[in-house]
Amino acid sequence: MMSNSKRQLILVLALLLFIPIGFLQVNMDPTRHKYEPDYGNVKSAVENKGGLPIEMALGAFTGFREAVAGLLWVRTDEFFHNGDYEAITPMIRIITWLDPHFIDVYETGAWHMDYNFTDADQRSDRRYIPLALSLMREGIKNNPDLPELYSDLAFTHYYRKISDFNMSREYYERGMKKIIEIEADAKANPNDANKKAAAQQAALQITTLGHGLAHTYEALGMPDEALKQWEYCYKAHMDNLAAGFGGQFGESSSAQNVQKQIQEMTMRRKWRATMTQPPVDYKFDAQLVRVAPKVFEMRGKLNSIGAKKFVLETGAHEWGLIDGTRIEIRFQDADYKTPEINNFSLNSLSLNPNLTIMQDSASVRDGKFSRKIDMSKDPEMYSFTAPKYTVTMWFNPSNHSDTPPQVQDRIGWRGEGMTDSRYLDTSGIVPGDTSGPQPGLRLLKKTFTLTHEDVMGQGQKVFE
Amino acid sequence: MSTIWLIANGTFGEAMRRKILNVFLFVALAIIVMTFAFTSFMPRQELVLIKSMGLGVIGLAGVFISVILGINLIPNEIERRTIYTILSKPVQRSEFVLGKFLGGLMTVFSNIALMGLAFLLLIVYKEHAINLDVLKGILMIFFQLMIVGALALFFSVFLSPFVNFFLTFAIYLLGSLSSITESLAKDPDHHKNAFVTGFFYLVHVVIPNFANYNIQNPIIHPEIHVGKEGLYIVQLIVYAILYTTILLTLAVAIFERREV
Repeated sequence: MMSNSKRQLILVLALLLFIPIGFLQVNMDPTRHKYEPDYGNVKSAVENKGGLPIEMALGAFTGFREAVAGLLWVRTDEFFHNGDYEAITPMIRIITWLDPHFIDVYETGAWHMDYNFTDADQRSDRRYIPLALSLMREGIKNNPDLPELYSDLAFTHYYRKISDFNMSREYYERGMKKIIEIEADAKANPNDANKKAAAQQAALQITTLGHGLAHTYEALGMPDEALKQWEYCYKAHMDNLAAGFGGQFGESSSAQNVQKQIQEMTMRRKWRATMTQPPVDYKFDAQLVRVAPKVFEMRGKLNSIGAKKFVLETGAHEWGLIDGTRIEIRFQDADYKTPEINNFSLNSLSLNPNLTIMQDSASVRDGKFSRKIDMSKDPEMYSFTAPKYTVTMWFNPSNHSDTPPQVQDRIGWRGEGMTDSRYLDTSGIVPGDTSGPQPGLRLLKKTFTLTHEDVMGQGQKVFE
Repeated sequence: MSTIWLIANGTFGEAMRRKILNVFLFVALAIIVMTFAFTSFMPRQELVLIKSMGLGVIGLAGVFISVILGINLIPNEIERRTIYTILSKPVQRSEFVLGKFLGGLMTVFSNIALMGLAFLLLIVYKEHAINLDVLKGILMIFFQLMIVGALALFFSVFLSPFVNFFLTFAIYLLGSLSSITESLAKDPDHHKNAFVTGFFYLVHVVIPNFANYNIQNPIIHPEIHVGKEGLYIVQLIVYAILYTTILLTLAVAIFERREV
């Protein structure tokens, strides 16, 4: 039997051990936060309209967090295939709260929001755009070391969806910087297998990030920077080939593609220096016709002259009308400005049912365009409750999807070889959801202002 | 030390005779069935679910094994009166308690090792590569269970198995909700009562923090790398050893005075 004094001494010693325990816990807390979800977020998911069952929240805290998130993600996919779009966004919110490192959910979730919630004619619901951007930014904040997230936000959302080339450039450059940091970190720690694997993974992102940045420089009318970027990409592909990263065929084919881009860019830069002058009048005009309540026909003209039969090597060409140029069309509440959502809470998921935004485009053939848009079939997307609306039709020479290269051969990357006596806009502000002006950009733009009666009235009415 | 080892071996042998390993068989079966249940999902989603469910199931089964073993190790000996035979020999009570704990820990280890092996093989089958990161997750589950076992054994020296079962589970849950206690202890805007925040702070640093050991996120998402992970794992092991030492010391001190 142990003596009383010995027993007491042991008890005191045992209790004293709580001091290093507390010290250790406080020291470990910052690292623990990297592994588990924030309590406030899970609490919101349970209490607010997210409707996360309490047992799932409990499961999330007892080792089944990723499983709960994974199963919710599978359920979300079912909602998508059943067309139950309204249920998807809260699920995406809850899943990324539970598992902030579930990359697929950020990428696929934001893609759904930007592209797949559509009206009867497959036009996306643009009220989701600020949410999609916010989700992607949060994904980057939670996973700052993954270059693919920067690339996805830069291309899928800023470049392709809203043509905001300034923001696209910002995220591409941040992604490129991240690749360089990851590679430098691996070089500084040659024995760290994790860092080596991360560097290899990052090096292969050159195809998406590196090429994307070059295209964005081109869209911003910065051919010198674009060429430098292509040259950087070529070297990176050759380095990957030498190091045996990725599929040899893939890297070799990417290197060949880059070589072709360098050659084409070098030649086009040379020819465009002279071909774009003097500026040509594109004689843009547009007309808006109300066919029936909420049904409009947008039509007009564009003298889209470009270089026909262009020979890259010699610069030989013939001037003529080029088909395939696109006119962007946007119909929205007159006072609407795309908001920036910084805190993607469950409350922010409520779309404004009184907000109307529609964006589409029309193709120019033989110098003319026409597009009939029926917004009467989707009253939930196009509520038309505002007193006034603006309809803007514009031609953006810097946008690759709107401007074929032969047209750019005549008017340049930013419309410097284009003029218009009535509708030239040199403010650099691209209508729509872009965040700021693109200096030096020349657009052709015509805006109509309509009243509620103009939209809802019966019979045909022409707006000039 | 040899006495502790002898008691540990005896405890381990008895646990084996009680076919506690059958739990492993059920879990292994569940994991194998799970691999075929998720085949309709995309490969990345399937792997997320398999890894997360696999590690979660191993952890949960391990908690049950540890608690059920821990709450019965000493009361069983008292109930069957075999403790008199043991203590009548030159065996210190502290040696008895430590031997029982070590035997229980060996049983938990063998279970976790077998479940972990089945899980590892499954991941090899799915990924066509050996994923040693999975072992980190299983190792941390083991150290988490070491504290759970010590907690159950500590309560078993002065509580009935029935009460002990619920109390140990309650503390396991409380310790798994450390982000909640930590959040309650925080008061950046000075709106809460200082005693309340102080109480939750104490709970946060004193109650065994089982949530520390849930390190599976980067294992499930291999593209995620957590900085200083090696240091964190060492801290977790030290934490488990310190906490177990406290609980066993307290158990020995109480058991020394207990009438059996």
